[in-house]
Amino acid sequence: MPKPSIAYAAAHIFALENRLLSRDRVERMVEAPSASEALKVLSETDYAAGVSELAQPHDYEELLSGEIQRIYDFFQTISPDPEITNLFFVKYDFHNLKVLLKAAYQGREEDEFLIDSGGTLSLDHLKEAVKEEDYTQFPHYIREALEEVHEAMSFRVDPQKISVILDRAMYKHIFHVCRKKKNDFLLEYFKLQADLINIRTFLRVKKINQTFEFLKHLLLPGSELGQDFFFDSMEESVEDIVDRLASKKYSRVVEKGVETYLKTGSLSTYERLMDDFLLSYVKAARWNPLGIEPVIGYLLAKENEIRIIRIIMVGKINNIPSQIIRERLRDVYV
Amino acid sequence: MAVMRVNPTRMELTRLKKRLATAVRGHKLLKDKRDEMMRRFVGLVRKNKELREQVEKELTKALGDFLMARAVMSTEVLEEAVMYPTREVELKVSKRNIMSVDVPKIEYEEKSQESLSPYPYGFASTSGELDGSIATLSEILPRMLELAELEKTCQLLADEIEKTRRRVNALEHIMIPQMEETIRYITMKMDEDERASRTRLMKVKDMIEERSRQSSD
Repeated sequence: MPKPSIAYAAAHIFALENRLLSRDRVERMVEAPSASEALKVLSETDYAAGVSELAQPHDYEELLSGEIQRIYDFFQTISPDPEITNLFFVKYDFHNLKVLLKAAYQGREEDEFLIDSGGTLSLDHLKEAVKEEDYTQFPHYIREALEEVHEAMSFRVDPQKISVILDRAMYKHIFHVCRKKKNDFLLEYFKLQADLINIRTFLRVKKINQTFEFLKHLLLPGSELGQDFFFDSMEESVEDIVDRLASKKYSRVVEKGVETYLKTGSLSTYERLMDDFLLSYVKAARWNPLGIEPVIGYLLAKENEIRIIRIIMVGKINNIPSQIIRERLRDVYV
Repeated sequence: MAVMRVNPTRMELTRLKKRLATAVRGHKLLKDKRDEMMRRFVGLVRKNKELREQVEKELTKALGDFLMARAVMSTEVLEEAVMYPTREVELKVSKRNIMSVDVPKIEYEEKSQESLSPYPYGFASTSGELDGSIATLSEILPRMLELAELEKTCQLLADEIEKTRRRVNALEHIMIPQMEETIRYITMKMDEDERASRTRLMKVKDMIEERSRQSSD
């Protein structure tokens, strides 16, 4: 077992970074004439073992979830601070909780949509606990969230509320850990993420003509943009938000994203720019060999890679023109 | 035209004549029914075609959007987002009568729950492309139901038209000529019989007269 020190982890990861999917491999996948051709490109990389186990290209999700699990296991051994790296894996726990709770409130059992790779909590534990409604063995942030869900649902079941409460609880937990660890780098990262997600939520709510009341409880906590900001923006036209955010680091994302959104009505560009921006934020800090930044960078690069592969595979299986796939493709890390 | 195998009797003749009258009347009625059904059918089919093209176009677009929403989220996250629907739709299927054909009538009513959000998922973990495709899909639903109703109607009507047409043709080209032929055959046969018996009677009369002449001689 290697000793998980920061320097060791950073060195190990620098070595691994070379094996990430490079830009021209991604390009070759996009240009591949079929899904199985695209997979062939993958078999030249670290994914080779996974690819050879696939019976057909349609099962690519198995490959991806296998990779997530592999990354999770890898980070458990190498991470100098698992509590921090696990922040990127709690989303799988919360996803599973959402599925289990929604199924429970519908009075049925649900196995198919659970993600059994990458979560920090055992799936069997979660299942058992939701069934018995006994959450005592869980960390406090999950316990509190679940209690809140039950309280909110006692009157009437609103599935959106389940998701919303859990999303908020997740970000609350993330910010709590960041503050506790005094990790400014990550704190800033998640703040930017929450900002960008909130702006996206705002655009989506505005599109479906809902009121501020509706938006209010969808906003994630921890964002620099408070409720007041969105309350004012609700009154104004969508273009104005670009000016109001001109001084922010992500002004370009908002500007370009909103521009194409107004033109085409699609948020895909915004989402791509958002992911690219967050990745570039981490990328900028990756050369700090004595910090946790390179580790986080690698983790995000891997997540990004999985997203890229998914977009390409879905596109290839459904014969989407390369042009449309490329529009949605995120930047690569290396 | 083949003649039916009947006894050439007067009773059979009356019976056949009655049947012929009924067949002719039935033929006229059925022909009217067929023409009217065709008229309606053509109208419905035209509407059906229009609606189908429209629905198909929109559906292709919505599913395309949905596909891209699916591409940027993992399957599990997408399924979780839509696994608990907040909107309920009530469908009532009843019958409607077009030219004595029972066609379905689908009534559609959305049970609105004001206080619940129309989107059953949180906005933080889902892609914005999902909203659009779900909105389009929910707009298409009423039209898809209308299309289902229309298409079934056309199908049932087409079946009925085919049946009616076969009946009309059977009456027109087989039943009626056959009966007419048989009637002519019976009439002729009976005339023939009558002539035969008259000749016989005349012959008998002649013979009787001959005999009485001989006895008087």
